[in-house]
Amino acid sequence: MSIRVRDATPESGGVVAPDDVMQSLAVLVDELNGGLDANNLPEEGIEYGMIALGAFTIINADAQTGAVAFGATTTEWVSENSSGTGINTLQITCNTDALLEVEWSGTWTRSTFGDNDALAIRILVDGSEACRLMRSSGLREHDSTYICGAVPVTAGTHTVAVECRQWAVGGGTIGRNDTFNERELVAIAHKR
Amino acid sequence: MARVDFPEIQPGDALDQTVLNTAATALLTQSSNIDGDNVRDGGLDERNFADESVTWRPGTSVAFYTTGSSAIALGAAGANPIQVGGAYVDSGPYDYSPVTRLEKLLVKLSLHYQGVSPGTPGDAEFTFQLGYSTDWNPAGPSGTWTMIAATKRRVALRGYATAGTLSITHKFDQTIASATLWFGLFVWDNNAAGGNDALTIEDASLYGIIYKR
Repeated sequence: MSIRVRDATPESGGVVAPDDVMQSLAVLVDELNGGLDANNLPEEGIEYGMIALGAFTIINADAQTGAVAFGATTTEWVSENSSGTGINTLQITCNTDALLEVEWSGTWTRSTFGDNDALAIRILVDGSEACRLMRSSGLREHDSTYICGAVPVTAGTHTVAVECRQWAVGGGTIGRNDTFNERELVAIAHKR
Repeated sequence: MARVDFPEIQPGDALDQTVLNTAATALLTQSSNIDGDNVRDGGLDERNFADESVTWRPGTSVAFYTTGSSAIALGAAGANPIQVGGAYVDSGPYDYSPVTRLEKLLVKLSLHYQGVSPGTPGDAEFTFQLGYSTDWNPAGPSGTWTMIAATKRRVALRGYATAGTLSITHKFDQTIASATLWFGLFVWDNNAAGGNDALTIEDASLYGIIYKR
């Protein structure tokens, strides 16, 4: 048990010294004012309603179903196409340090398929790369993938974004359009 | 803050009934108001928390390691989730309460698929999508399913190697008032020119986790 009350036990007929009583109570009060720990609380005594929202996990997501097309000349990493339409982006605010787990899954359509071009996808957290896949299959007209990463973050608001680019596997020629369809970006801040 | 204020006693003061009662009242008043300010940083551990107080998932099996192979119906999702090895690829029921308990629910799927026979060009093109139901009874089977738009994934196998993997992650954001939420996988043939192509699904895993706090 965390609380250590001063051992002052008056006996019958004895004199109660005020200091003995008051110092014991003072220790008790000090513990109650910020010193309690696992030993002072019952096992399985804390239920979900007693826990502050977001105390352990904060989750945010960006789900999209509208098409966003990228031209064949997308040879640099971009988060949105020439029309200003993005793939996925979100912000998540943490009130403490956390491990930020980021995931993306989505599907796309290719204008030309069957060559060795690949669609590369990555997730950025505050502009830094958290994970990437450089070589999706270039053989399929329609395909999908899943990508995940985790980075430690400090307290504050963080921006998570998905970027893509064309990637010529084996020195092949880039020359097709990719259109993202259904897709979702999920960010999970694990605080404990 | 559940702070206990305690009377200061100086040497020479009387320790009388009033002082002790004041101290006792201070403790009694705040004993039911203990919160984070009363607990030492890092002072709690897992034994203090009730089961399922932070996360929750169904206790039923959620992995389907057997193989399913069938001609997939053309054009649209079937009435029930797809079956693998004779079992529906479903997961539930979830005791999900986003309104009263402000829970968040993540659902995830991974699987391996194979279209036509290896080495044989085909024109198979399939759509995978998750759905949810609040009245699914796999024993019936019966239930009404609603497709989750953002989880639709499309895979074309035309003329090339036909094996692949597919994974979906989704934050369920439907506001429902139900304690019997199910998720299921739906697959259909999306290619009108060559419908009813065979598709084999293996190693499917579908599960959800409710984050309560």
